[in-house]
Amino acid sequence: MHTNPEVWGPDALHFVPERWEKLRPGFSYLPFNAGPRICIGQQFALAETAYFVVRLLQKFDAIDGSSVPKGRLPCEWKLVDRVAGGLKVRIHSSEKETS
Amino acid sequence: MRPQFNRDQIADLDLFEKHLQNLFNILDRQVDSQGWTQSGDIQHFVELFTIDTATEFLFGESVNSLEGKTEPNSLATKEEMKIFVDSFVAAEKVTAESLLYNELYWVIHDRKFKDQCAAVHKFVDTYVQRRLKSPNSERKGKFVVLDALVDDTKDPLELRYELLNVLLAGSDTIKASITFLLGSLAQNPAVFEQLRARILEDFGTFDQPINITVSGLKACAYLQWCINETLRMYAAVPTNYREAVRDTTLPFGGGPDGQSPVFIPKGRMVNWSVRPLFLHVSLPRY
Repeated sequence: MHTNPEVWGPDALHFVPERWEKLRPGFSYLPFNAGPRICIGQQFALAETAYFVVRLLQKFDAIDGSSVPKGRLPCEWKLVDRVAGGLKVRIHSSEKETS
Repeated sequence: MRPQFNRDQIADLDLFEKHLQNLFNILDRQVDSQGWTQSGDIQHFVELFTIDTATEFLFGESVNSLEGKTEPNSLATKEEMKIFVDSFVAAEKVTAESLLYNELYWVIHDRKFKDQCAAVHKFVDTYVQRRLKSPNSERKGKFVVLDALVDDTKDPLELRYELLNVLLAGSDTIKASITFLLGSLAQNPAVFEQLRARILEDFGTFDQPINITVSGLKACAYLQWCINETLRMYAAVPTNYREAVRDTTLPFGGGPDGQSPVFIPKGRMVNWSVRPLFLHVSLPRY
């Protein structure tokens, strides 16, 4: 569903935010499920994620992903997914000049 | 509880800011002379952040795992809070494996796991007992999940399990989504640049932020696209299930060709695997 090329296009396996400019996937996109039992915390989760990212990117102006594997990020299964082995990155403070 | 959760103001941005400041204090101490943080696992810090926000939202008091000290009049000591967080994270792993073992779950429920569950229960029960004894909320004017639950039930066991349910749902999933988004930004520097430019344009600088409201966040299109794209590729919940509350049928799946209805008796658990459903093309599966 979430990687069906007929819905998302031939680059469905890649991270391309711009695709959302025109796409309206309807029931092909269900990260929070649907219907009367749709995720109760959807608005909370979206707001917390957005707020975190906004404040982090205001404060930090670069991210070093040289230790992050290429391609699809590895998943580790608990009750919910997480990045397997953690996410090793360095981030750069916007208060310091990049050298 | 559901109607209260549907409101926009359910997300308390001041709560997020408070715990983010604790995280930034830790990262600031790491920054070297070139301006870079140490190379370490950022998922771990995101996890502590989401647990800190979720516990405050649930109990009215945060475990403050990103901070060295507890709040004044805190019900638990720092050590008790740490034991709770560590036990919760460890017991979750075994709980997940229990689903695979099904009726043989007891095989992996060893002494260590039972001790971790006991520690988690004891910690949550402390907050439940305080709330049941005192009619007043700990966070005046703020939404606290425990307050909303107490309006419906005074049963301490039901309150414990409802709180644990929302704690899991309200911290781990968000931790995963934030980390998968950061990982995707690290893999795609052009997206990072574009997103950062849009954020500075809409929300100003770190020291002089403007218009960071729930509706402001929703109106930042590129930010929403990045979040959508993360949830498309890495939906956080890999499996889901429902228990039939009465005898019923599923429309398809039965018979030799899978086209006939299937009878589901009352009490039967029906599980569906979300991840293979979402990743339907030829990708590595479980």
